Amino acid sequence: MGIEIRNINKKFGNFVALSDISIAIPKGEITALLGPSGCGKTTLLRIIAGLETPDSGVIKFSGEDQTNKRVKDRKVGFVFQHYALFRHMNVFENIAFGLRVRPRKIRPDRKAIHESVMRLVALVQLEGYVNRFPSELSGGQRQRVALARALAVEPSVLLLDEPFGALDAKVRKELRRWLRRLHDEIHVTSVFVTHDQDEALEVSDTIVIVNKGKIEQAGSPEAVCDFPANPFVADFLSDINRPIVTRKKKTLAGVINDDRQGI
Amino acid sequence: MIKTGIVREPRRVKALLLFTAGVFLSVFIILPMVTIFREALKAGVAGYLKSFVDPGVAFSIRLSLLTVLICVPVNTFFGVVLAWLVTKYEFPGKKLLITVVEVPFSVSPVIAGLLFIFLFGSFGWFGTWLTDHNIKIVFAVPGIVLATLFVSFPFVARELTPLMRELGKDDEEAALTLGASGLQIFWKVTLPNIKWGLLYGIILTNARAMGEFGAVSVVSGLVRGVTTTMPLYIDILYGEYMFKSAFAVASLLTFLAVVTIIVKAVLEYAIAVQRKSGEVQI
Amino acid sequence: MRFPFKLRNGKGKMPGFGLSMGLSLSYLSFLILIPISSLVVYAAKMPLKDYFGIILDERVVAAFKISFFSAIAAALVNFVFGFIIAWVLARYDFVGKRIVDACVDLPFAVPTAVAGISLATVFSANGLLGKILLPFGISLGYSTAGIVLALIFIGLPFVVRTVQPIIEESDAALEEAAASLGANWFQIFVKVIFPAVLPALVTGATMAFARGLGEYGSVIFISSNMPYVSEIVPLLIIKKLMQFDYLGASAIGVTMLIIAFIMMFVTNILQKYMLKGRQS
Repeated sequence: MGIEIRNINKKFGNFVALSDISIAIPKGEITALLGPSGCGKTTLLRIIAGLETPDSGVIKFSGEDQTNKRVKDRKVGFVFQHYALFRHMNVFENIAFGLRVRPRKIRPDRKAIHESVMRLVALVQLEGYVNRFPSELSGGQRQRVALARALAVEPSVLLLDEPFGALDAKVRKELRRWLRRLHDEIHVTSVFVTHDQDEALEVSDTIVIVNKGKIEQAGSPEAVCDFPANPFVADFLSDINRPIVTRKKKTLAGVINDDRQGI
Repeated sequence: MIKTGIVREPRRVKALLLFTAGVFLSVFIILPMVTIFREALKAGVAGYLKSFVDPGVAFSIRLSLLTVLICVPVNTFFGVVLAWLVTKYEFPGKKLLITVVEVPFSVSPVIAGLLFIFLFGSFGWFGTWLTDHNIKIVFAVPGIVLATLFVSFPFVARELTPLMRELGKDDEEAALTLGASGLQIFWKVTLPNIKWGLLYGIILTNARAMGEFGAVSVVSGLVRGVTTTMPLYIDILYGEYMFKSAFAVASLLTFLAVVTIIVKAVLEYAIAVQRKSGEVQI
Repeated sequence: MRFPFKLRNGKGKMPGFGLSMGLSLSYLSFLILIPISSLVVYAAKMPLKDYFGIILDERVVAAFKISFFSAIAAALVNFVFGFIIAWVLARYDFVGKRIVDACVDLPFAVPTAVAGISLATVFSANGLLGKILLPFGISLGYSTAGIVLALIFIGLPFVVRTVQPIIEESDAALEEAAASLGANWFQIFVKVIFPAVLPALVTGATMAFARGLGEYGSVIFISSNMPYVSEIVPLLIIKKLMQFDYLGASAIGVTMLIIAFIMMFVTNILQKYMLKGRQS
């Protein structure tokens, strides 16, 4: 399922956050919205999610119009910058939240919820932590709970707002490799916002470079690096000198074990 | 500000909550306040002013002012000393000390008055000695002052302690390295930083000292023309069915209360603006 | 004056420690500690049997029950309405909001005697509200209802001022997260917002309850003050004093003192728990 964004405009008072944005986000890939802070990338992500209403324009998931749907009906998984975990709920309850709030008719029974949650807990490698509360977890672990919680509702798209922004440098590097590998397993259409060029290049299949509410360039990491469309893109990516990390298919376990000790 | 209009409660729920809050505040706060002035002015402005001609009223105002004039400076001084002590130094038993400061807020005002009866009453610890030396504390003005000191003590310390803790002691230590004495540090460095918080504490102390009823009523013995502060005189007038005069005195105290909360709101606003602009530290 | 223990902040020794410590301890002893001891020592002179004889006297027990249940009833009312008012002030914009916000502080600022006579007038049989309530058989003269009304007035700001900042500071992302997971507004409120506010709400209501137990001034004007029916404990202490029953007064006074310390302890723990929840 791809995301189609057409002619989106958004103003906050007199400030133009987004101006006539149109872009197609490919199905099953990870797309990075990359740009300096205040460029409008987070606003765009929030409009895709339905957390923000655009002044004009259309959002479609797989050709189906979402523009007038509320956030709760869009089936998006949203990972917040500071995770927004419910701190009075343990890991299990956090992940189960999306299933438990479904209308009775389509709510899975207790056993099915338990199974889904445990499957996700295994996926994000937090088996021993289901009864912990967010305050008892490290930053990297919280981030993975937030991800599992978003995936629990089987979202049609996964949206991540600066997913690594609140982590320290070492954990950040480990987690973004892990996220990449996770995506290689689950293939959900994903969009993440970042201001970190390395992060965008390493994790994403497609990079959309945003500046001052407009899209400067969109393309594969190689394409934007080798053929910047304009001076802004060239300048913004100029401090990237090293070659793009080649992606090896590796089991998740190896990376995560390191991570656990690291955190 | 929360911008997600999408996840908020429906409009009728919001309307219901606003309505409920409005009715509740009207019944329990607005209406009683309006009633005070309504009752006081029942006989017109002239009748209202005439209430103050009563020598009892005039005396109660003088006694209340005297009490405030003693209690506010004393409690301000010791409140500042205490806040300084608990924010500038580390010492064992500090938590206990802070708890003791809170005691006057936690015990019933009647108990507060009772304490001084047992300390200075005729059968109390100092009772015999005081009688021998012909000193009257209980059922006299000193008792009123003591009880008022007790109940209005925590305000200044309580306002200043969190403020001074937040400010830290960097400024003071800087001044210290520059050779300033303790008193110089307080006047030139600390005081300018805490002045709004201090003013706030003083105003709350003043309001409580002016309006204390329970504690003062226990130690006063209600000796008319000797120990009747304004709140006590309201009690006497009300008990004698002189409602107009009772409410006239009450209106003065209510006016003071309104001024107090206006000043509080202004100070809070001023402090918030200063915080935002970052030009002053608080 | 030097104290035998070392200052923990070794480097910047602020002058004036001895002086401020000496002044503070002297003043606290003079104003708080010695007076409390005088009451406790006086009461401690009586045998335990006499103490319980006084405390378990029918009229005293009735007064404790009345004080206790009135304070609980008022705290519960404030639990509900204080929350609604805090919510409205924290989340909605409306004309005159700043004035309404300031009004919530009035019960802190208005002397209790003033509150007492005005509430008594408003709710009396020919008062503004009493007139409306009378046809429904609601009269305040011979029940504890008047006491509860006064304690609602006194306790309201405790709940509002404890809860309001928590609602104001609550993270919008939590609600957005819940919405993105498919929760409707009611589920968001019940499962996300309310549990986060609850510790503050309980703390505020407990503070209102503690205050209500000891309240005197506002109550005695609106209550009929009848023994066994509407006589609160602080009033009973004063009556004992007026009858020169100092033993009785000291026994009840010490009991109230113990209850006050317990309530202090409880609210302290609740506040710590509340702060802990906010930090994570």
